Amino acid sequence: MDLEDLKILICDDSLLARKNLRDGLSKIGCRNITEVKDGQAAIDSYKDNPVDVVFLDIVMPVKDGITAAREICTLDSNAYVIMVSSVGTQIHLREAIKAGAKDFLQKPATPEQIKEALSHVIGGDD
Amino acid sequence: MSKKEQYFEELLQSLHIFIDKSFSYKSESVSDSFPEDCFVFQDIIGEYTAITAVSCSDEAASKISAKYSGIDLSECEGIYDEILSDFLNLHNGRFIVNLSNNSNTECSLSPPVFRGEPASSIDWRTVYIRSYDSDFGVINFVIAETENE
Repeated sequence: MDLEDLKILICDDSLLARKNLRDGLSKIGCRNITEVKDGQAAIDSYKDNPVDVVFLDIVMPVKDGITAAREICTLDSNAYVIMVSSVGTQIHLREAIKAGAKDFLQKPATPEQIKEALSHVIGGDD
Repeated sequence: MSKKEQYFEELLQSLHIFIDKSFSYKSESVSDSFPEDCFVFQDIIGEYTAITAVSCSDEAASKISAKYSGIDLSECEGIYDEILSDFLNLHNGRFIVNLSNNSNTECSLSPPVFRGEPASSIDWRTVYIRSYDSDFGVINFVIAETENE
């Protein structure tokens, strides 16, 4: 699978964070990108249209990212969730992994870091 | 160093790293209320609790948000509060990561809220307002701690 073939869901309440992540993904060749603004919307979107990778912020209204990660991974045990957050403390990292996330990127994530994280998806290395 | 001082010291670093090196300390004041022109608030919650906020003129907000986001100034109109809340969230996240790594103090953040009074259950006491000057105008960052801090 190539980067341009990946179906990606971005979930962040920050307009700028969504734009920056979309720009980073576009820069490395990703084309099929959907955006939502909170954890519940991410779960609903995933139910309707499962994707290859979900990028989730943690601190969001309505439903936080770790709860959303847990529900998406319960829905689909093969879901590939990557947390992208400013709150990269050890506790948040542990909670994210427990919730089923496969990776954690500290904001601001560079295109190189995003590409590195996606390399595990393309390579089937999870 | 108090956590408030640490917050502001790291804030200047965040301003330099993510926005522009022209930011410099201008002044500080102490109050028992938040500035009326605060447009975004975010709580730090956990072993250290505080309310943080941002205030500045519309003109400075537009220019600073354009510089921070790389978005054209004309397109920032009407969304500068969202853009600057992203910066506040970014800085607050870096601050609590440093608190965790350097002093084993575990915290999290609430989602930012916009305008009005801070929608917070934190029982804050004193409000510290620090102003920073820059090539784009003056911006004020606010932190209010609980009595025990």
